[in-house]
Amino acid sequence: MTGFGPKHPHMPNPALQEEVSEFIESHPFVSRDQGYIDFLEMYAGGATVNWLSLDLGPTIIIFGFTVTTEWLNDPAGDALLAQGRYFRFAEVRIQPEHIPTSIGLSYAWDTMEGQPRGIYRQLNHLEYKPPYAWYCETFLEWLDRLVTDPMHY
Amino acid sequence: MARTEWQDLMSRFASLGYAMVGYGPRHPELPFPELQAEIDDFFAENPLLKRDQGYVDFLEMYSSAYVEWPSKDFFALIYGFNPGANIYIPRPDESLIEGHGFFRFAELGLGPVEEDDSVGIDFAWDITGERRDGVYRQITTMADYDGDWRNIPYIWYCETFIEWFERLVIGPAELLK
Repeated sequence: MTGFGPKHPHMPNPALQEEVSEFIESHPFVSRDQGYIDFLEMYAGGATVNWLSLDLGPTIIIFGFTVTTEWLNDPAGDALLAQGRYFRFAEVRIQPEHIPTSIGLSYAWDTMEGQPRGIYRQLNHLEYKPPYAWYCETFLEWLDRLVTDPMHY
Repeated sequence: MARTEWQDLMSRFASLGYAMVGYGPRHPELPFPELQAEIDDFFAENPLLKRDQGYVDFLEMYSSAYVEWPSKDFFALIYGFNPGANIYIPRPDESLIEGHGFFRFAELGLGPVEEDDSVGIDFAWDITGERRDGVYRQITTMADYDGDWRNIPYIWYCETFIEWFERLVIGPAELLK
């Protein structure tokens, strides 16, 4: 499922423009990635795919401006901030064939100035949880990898 | 209904704000054919529900849809085939078959849930074949709730899914009328 932003290609919802713009302006690290800005302006509510509960594939949630994905404009402002600096924008949960429990992948922007630009990733497993590490350059590169092989980690 | 009319209707749904819509096997722009078998199974098990072509078209094009306002003043769920994000028809958390032979296909909430002035509205199809065709409505107010919503009857509401949907996209209070 996807949401509808002010620049959605077929069903635009201009009413969300102010909220999306406010979010982009108040999160300067977002403005560095045009692909992510385009995604928010087109799909706003984010996107969800949920097959893990049915053992049919991964669960993917790209956060947006809806209640059922994580709420990007969280008024408290820190619900999506991990370790005081990584702003989470998506998560993926997969069930690899060779392990009994699922693995979670969190994807985030580094809000700290002076760090390499791009997308950072953290692997969450029952037994280990390494720190966030740089993953790829841009949102579109990340999305392309995700849809090409959602089970990759 | 023509494709452009569907697009117009869904645009108005999106304009309710904070909407999410799925992708069915006949989605006008991004079809997801893998869902067709699941939808076919659903209608094979519930052949009477195929009488409303608008409902069939909705599920095959958009699979499911919902709106949920962050203020909690309004939500609308049209159940379908997107697990996790909405009521998933093949494996719902609770039975969608209600007493006296109704299949619940959508629900709305007006006002913060569990506050006295909140209202819940469920919509259903008759699955007995013994009632008039069309959409049936059950209105539950917290003030009147006696602990068992099954005591509240479904009353015939309108002829078709499209007519129902047209009313929904006017705004939250329209379906109370």
